[in-house]
Parts: sequence; C-alpha cells; structure tokens
Amino acid sequence: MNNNGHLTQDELILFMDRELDKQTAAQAEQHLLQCSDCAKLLRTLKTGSDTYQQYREQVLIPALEVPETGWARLSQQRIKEKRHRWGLGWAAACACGLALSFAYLRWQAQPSAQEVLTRAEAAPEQATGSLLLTTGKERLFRPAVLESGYSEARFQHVRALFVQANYSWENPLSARSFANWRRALPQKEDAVTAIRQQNGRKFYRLQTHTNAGVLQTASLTLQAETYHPTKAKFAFRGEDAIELAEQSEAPKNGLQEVQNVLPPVPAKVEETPATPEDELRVFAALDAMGAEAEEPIDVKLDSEHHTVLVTGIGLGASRRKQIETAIAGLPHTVMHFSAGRSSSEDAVNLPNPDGADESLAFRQSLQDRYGGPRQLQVAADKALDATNGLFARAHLLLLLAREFPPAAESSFPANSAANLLSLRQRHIGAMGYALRQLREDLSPLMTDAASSDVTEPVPRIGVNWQSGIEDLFAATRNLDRLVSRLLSGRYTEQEGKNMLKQLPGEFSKVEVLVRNQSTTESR
Amino acid sequence: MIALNPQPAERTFNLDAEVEQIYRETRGSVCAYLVYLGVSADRSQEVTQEVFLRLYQTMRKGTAIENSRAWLFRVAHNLGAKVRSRERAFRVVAPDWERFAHPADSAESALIDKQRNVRVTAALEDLSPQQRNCLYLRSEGLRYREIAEVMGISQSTVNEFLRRAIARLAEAAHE
Repeated sequence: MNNNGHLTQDELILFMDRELDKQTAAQAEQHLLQCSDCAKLLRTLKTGSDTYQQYREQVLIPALEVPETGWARLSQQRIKEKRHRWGLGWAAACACGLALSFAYLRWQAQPSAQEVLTRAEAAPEQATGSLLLTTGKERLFRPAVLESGYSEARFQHVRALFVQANYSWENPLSARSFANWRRALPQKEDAVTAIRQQNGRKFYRLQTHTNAGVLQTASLTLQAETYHPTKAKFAFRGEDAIELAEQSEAPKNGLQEVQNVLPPVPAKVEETPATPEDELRVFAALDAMGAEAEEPIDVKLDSEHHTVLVTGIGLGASRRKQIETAIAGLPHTVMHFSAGRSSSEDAVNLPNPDGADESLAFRQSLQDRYGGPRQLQVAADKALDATNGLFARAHLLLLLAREFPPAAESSFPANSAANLLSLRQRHIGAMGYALRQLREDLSPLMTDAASSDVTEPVPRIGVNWQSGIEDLFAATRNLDRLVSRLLSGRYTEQEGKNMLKQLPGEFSKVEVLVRNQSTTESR
Repeated sequence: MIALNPQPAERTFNLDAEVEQIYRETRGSVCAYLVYLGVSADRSQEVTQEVFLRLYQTMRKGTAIENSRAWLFRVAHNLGAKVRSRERAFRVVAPDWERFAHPADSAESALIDKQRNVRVTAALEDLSPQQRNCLYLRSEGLRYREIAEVMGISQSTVNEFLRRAIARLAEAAHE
C-alpha cells in the first residue's frame, strides 16, 4: 500500500497476474471490494494487459512468420544421428502468400487436448472464491479450495465419489487436478470443443472419457485467453451428473453453510439501503462470469428502493441463467430481464456454451441417428473441426483473390504466378478433402432432403478464379454457421428440423463451388 | 501393474515418448519466441531442434526438469541470443496488421482495431527490448520467477519491467 492507503500499481499488477501470496492476495481483494479508485485502476491495467494479448494474437504472432512446414518428428533415431539439417525447400513454400495462410490458419487452429491441458496447467491458478455444485437433486455452495480438515456432512457422498475416482475433491475446478486424474488413466479418449459466446469470448471445453474407474467422463471448460477453468462436469457411473461452476463470491451466510436452492429461493432483500459496495460486488460478479461492456446488461444503484438493479434486455435464456447464477446470493440485488430485440440472428453464430439444448427430444433424435450421445459428440467435434478448416481455407482464398486481382496476377512473373497457383491448389485441394470427410461425418443428418435439393441457383464462375471466390466464401460461411448451430447450438425442434432440411442443399452448394474452382485451376 | 524398476529399453521408450510429447506441444511456441528474438525463420527451426536435443540429452542423463516449458524458453533465449549475434543482420518484426483482420469484422471495428494497433505498436516501441521480452514471456504463461530465470535477471526487475510495460499499454489503450 502507498501512503494514501491505496494499492500500488506494482501490487495491482501482481494481484492481476496472481503473483501475490495467498494472504496478501486476500487482503488486496478485500481492499478492492471497498476502494473504487483501486478497482478502477485495476480495470485500467487489465485493459493494458488485454490490449497486448489481443495485439499479440492478431498482429505479432502472424507477423513472426514462423515456419509452417518442415517439422521433423523428434524421434530417438534422429536425435542420435543429429545429422538432420533443414533444407531450403520449405522457404520456397513460404513465398508469396504463405505467411498470410499460416497466420490465419494458426489463428484458426484448434489445439489438441494435451496442448490445452499443458497450457492450462502452466497458467497461474486462482484459489479463491466459491463453487456452485449442482447435482440432479440440489445446488450447493462450497469453497473453491478446501483447507485440510474441512468436513461437511452434506458433501460426504459427492466427496466419496471424487476420492474413489482419484480426482482432487479439495480443488476440483482446476486444470492440474483434471490433468492428474487424466494422466493416471490407463485408457482414455479426449475431445476439445471450441466455444464462442455471444460476447465474443472464446472457451475450450476439454472432455475426457474413460471406461476405467468410477468417473467415466469429466469435462473442463477453460477461458481460451487465460486457460482459467470456469466450469466442470462429472459423470460418475450410476450417478446423476455433477456440475461445478465458478462463483465470484460465496453466499452471504458464509462458506461453511450449505444453501439448498432447488427450487430457487429468491434472494431476500433486506430493508437497509444498498451501498456502492453492493453495486461493486455485482460488477465484480458480472466481470468474473465474462460479461462484457457491450452486452445489454445494466447495473444501477437504486437507493430509493434499497436495491442494486440488474437489468438485461434481449438476452437468451442461457445467458440469463448464467447471470442469475453469478449474482445469486449477493445482497440487495434485484434482477429484471426483458425480451427486447430478437437475438435469433445472433444465435446463428452462437453455440450455446452449456451445450444444453432447449429441445431435448430433438437432441435425442440426433443421438439416435448416430447411435448414441458419445457417437454424436465425436462426430460433432470432427464436423465442427472440418467446417472450421473449410471456412479458414475459404477465407484465405478470399484474401488471395482480393490481394491479387486479375490485373495484378497477369503482371506476375512466371515463378510468382506458379506460387500463387500452387497456393490456390493447396487450398482448393484441402477443401475438397475436408468436404469428403465432412460428408461422411454428417451422413446420418443428410437424409432429410435430396442432395440435389439446392434451393438457390449456384452461380457459375467467370473467366477468372477470383470472381467465384466471393460466392465460395459466402457458401462456406453459411455451411459453417448451419453446422455449428445444428451440432452445438440451441434451438426449437422446428428450427432443428428446418436446419436438417437445409443441410444437404448448403453442403452441395459448397461442393459445386469448390468443384468449379478445381476446374478453373486446371484450365 | 506398475513396474518399479523398468528395464533400460523401457526407460528409453518412456523418455522418447515424453520428449516427443513436449516437443509436439511446445515446439511452435519455442520457434515463435526465437523468431520474436530476431532469429531468422530458417535458423529458428534449427535452433528449436537444438533446444529439444538438449532437453532430451539432459533428461537422459537423469536430470529432473521440474518445469520443462520454462526450461525450454531459457535455453531458447540463450541459444537465440548467440545465434542472433552471429547472424549479420536479423529481421525486425514488422507487423502488417491490416492483412490480418478478423473476417467477421465490420469496417468500423476493423478501423478501430487498426487505430488501436497503431497505438500499441508505438507504445511497444517506447519500451526497452527487455521489457518487451518480459511481456512476451508473460503472455506465454510463464510466471515471474520463470521469466527472471529465462532472461537472467532478478524477479523484482521483472516486476518493474512489467509494471512499466503494462502501464504504458494501458495508456495506449485509453488514448
């Protein structure tokens, strides 16, 4: 602290980076809840930190032009021989627009389960706050990290399950705990799903399934930027699913007390005036759950009515639930949500982060088509990866078409023209391959309309390849959105049926446009 | 069943698999860091290979490496500095942020991004190379203690470098 009793910049940055020791961090946190000046400065510094992160991802890393190809497998033999020298072949491949390609592909690339977990393990852990534990029967609060000796009778059964599964009950919402459990499994299957929320925030959901042990499936949802875990789900053999969600603050009545909130009990509004501290707690809770300034959520101190009023306009049911969960238990807080404008258009882009569809019956019908929930999940992950890849390739082609219009291309010397052709061929070839894979993955869903049922006429490409790329990009984007929504979004049963009908047509459209591009390549 | 005394062949196999896994997970980051330090793209692949060879050799000797990620960055930092000093000229990272706009960006948001990136670029240019390196390693997920080890400076110096850098970036973000 400085002479004025405020936290110094140093302390705030150390707090932000979780570099303070536990006791000092707790003191700093306490101070931040009471001091709006320090809280404001912390937000400012966080903006500086986020700005660099964004700059790094959008500008710096792409500009580094790290070689994309030429990586040798680091086998023992190569190590022993130590004779491997890098050729210059890859350098030619980097020519022309390869840097452009790599930058975008790198940005789009989805990491493997191990990669996500390794990074998450390396990230600093936040060991404060509380968790909301939801089972089929009840919702309970507990500290995020349990001190040794902590015992609570009502957690006994759940605790026993975790202990039996060799999964840390003391700190269950932790990448390290997840990794420790996963590492010890003799057999496992992993899946990583990238999730983008309405506010643009990206998450990774890492799921590991095993047939060994009492814990069959565990999933961990991590913020993509920080690898901070926000949610975990556990499917124990013969038990209701258990979900853990990060809470910014423990319930008012203390961590030791367990609150049964099913059916939800409205927060009691005490007849004492709400204070700016109450308002700050709401802001902190919203911030912790990932609410962005751009979201239509308003927080007002309504001192006349002794409340902090949280209003949301046009938010989806899932988002409302997240907000309600985040600020449940905060004193003097009243929520009011209204429909506002329809968010259906946005929803096209926006998979539901919870993966909880409104129409369970329709979800069930999708599972039946694939032969079970796991099969659907595996196919969905593969299909979403494939559409991501397709969209990335289409975007690269669009950039190339815009960067090198016919006039510019015609003035290229032979070697540059050959480079450009090679690059385009690579992308088109990769799209063709991805489409074949995707057709296999989606085949159970492609039975609702004839594959020739293309509702819109497919434009023929003109005399140059550039003129067809805009259509290809638009068609690929539509397919990507449709598949994303169908497999990981939320919608009504009728909407689901409509999407199934559209799917073959949208798919065929992309296929035809890719084929047209291939034809142009060979001219 | 766990073999308490694995045979040499098994140990080698496990070590290979372990290093292989670390290699797959970290090579991109290590190579990017070398390029960031100014090592040319082709040399960065060689140096990355060298870094992992050293990891393998160190582990084969039985030396325990507690945090392989930090260890790799430290070796990469040292090797990168040597290589760069030997190269006659090293490339300067010159971001061309206009070419990497998000496809879904509107023209307005792309313009805002562009303006912000210009300010951030200017702010970063105001920082010393060491301050920039600290920022870079921090964004790779290294703890302050690890950054200090990688760069061969004290942890308090890392604190100070990062404080100045983040404060300067915060100013740039709000300009």
